[in-house]
Amino acid sequence: MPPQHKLYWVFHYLLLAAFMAFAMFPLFWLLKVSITPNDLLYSEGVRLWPSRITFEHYASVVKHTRFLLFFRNSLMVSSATAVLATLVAGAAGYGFSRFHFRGKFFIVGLMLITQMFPLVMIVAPIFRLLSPLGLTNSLSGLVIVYTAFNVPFASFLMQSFFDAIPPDLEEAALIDGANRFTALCKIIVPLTLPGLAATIGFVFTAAWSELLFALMLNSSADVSTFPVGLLAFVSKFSVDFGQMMAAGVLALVPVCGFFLFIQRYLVQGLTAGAVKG
Amino acid sequence: MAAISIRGVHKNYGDVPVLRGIDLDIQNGEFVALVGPSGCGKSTLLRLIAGLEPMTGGDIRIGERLVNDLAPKDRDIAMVFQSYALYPHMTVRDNLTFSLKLRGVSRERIAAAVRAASAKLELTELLDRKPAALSGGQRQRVAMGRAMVREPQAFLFDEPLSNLDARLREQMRYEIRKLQRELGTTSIYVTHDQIEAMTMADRIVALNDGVVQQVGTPNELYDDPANVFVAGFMGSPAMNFIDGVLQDHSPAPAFAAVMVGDTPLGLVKRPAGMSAGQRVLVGLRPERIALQSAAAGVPAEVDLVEPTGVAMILRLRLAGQPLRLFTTERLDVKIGERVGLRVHAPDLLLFDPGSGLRLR
Repeated sequence: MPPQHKLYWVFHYLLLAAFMAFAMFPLFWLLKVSITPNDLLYSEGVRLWPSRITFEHYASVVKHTRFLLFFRNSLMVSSATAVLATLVAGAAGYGFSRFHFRGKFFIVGLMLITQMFPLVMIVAPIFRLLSPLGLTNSLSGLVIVYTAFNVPFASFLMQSFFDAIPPDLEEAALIDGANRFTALCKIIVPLTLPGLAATIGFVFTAAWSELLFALMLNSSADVSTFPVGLLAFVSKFSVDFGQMMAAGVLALVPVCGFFLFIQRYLVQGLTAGAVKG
Repeated sequence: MAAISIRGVHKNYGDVPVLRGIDLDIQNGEFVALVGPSGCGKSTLLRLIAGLEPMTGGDIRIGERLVNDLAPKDRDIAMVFQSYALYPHMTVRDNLTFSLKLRGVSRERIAAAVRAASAKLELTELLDRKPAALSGGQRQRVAMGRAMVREPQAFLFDEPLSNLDARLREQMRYEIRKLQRELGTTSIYVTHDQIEAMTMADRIVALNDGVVQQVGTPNELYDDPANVFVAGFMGSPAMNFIDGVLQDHSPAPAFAAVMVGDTPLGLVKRPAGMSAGQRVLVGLRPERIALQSAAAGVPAEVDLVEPTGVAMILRLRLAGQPLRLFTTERLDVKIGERVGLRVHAPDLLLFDPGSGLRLR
């Protein structure tokens, strides 16, 4: 890195700090409200930190609501979706990246079009489709719908990662004695791990925070996911902000943990191909 | 080791022909360079031999086997890529042994092959490093090693030195050639660098526009080019081409005088079917021209003097046409000076101005 003027770095970090503050403030507020006792919530208004803190919201969320069940449901749905969508998208992305075939342009176009509709528009038809199959009020139904919706974007994501791997490597493997599948498993997949991690992360988060379909397709609380569960804190006359925020903070934990885990692959993934080598 | 025979090979990309009927026989153990400008089809031909792309037509045999429909892995060839194509997530050792492991070779034999190859290529110290931690020359050697351990029927090289700096390229040129001589493996070497082709190859195949222009030893292509393309491509500085006219030489009707404007260049054997007054393209290598006194020689004027240290390039004008002279002598000439040229008549190569073919 070339030596820069000191002022440049001051400005650089100030800008980053401002952005961080802007991006993190809602999360901070989430945390703040979740530990503010109910009697102080409205009286202390916009104070940055409450004069007293409490963890009773957390206790009541875990003890008195079905939050843990929702949590488990969400975890199952999101994990299954992430794995399934990434497998399908990986295969599709590899195909788009490496093969020329008739109708490729058409298929890519079709996949783009699916991304253009507002989801509200297709809730009813999807419900009609799933209902006779017994897939409403079920977690597998959600997994299927989420997978279908995430595959197009995830495919393009994976394709860009495959594109970044020079075909020479695969050809070298073919000459070295591998067939296409062996070359894929031994050469391409290990090099695409960052891409796979990024895609899994993307799909997992999308499924984790999805509300519309989870709400519309599943009416039974037994198969509700966590975003639907959050709605339960909104009653006819009031909103239990403390508990809602506490549940929100709890819901962030696995996502944060997940990203912490894949973070090193992600950073690799985003910079892969930037360096010749 | 095996001979490679290529018969009537065609390749089209869509409607665009890239190779138009290539016929080539490569002897067992021979080092053949495919040379030509970018886009001439040389790399495509190599990829067809490797089986990385399907042919549009023709036959390729490696040894006795027809390999048209064989997958690359079944052709028993090894390839060294321009980018080296080392597997970045594997150590040097794993890169070397990848092919042997895939083929189920026993552990002892793999270890022995790695020992032999790494000793030969001085890779022993580097075996546990990953490609990212190697220099360009070291990567190049690993790529060579990966090809070597398999003991394949043939080596295919796809411009393997073009990513190296000039000094290293010279060094690797020597190392590759030496290694190939020791192993005696049939090799096909694609390059756009005629110096590489000249210095390394037993035979050179000059390709242009998907057609073989000439096949021969380096000296054959240099001294006796079949057409203007080969004459112009081989050699640096490149051959001079001057527009000339043939004139009758009455004392000996079998000969004709080559005229450039009003200046006679020399007497050549009259090419078959050529009569007086016909236009020809005269090819003359810059290093085959010498200076002599302005009164005695072919008159020319100095346009520019380019000293290169080891030699000098004089840019001249001969009857209004540009001409280069290359000499290792330190000449004392000035820009604008009138000089006399000495040209040896057998060095005048005549070409048809229309077709570019050599006139003999």
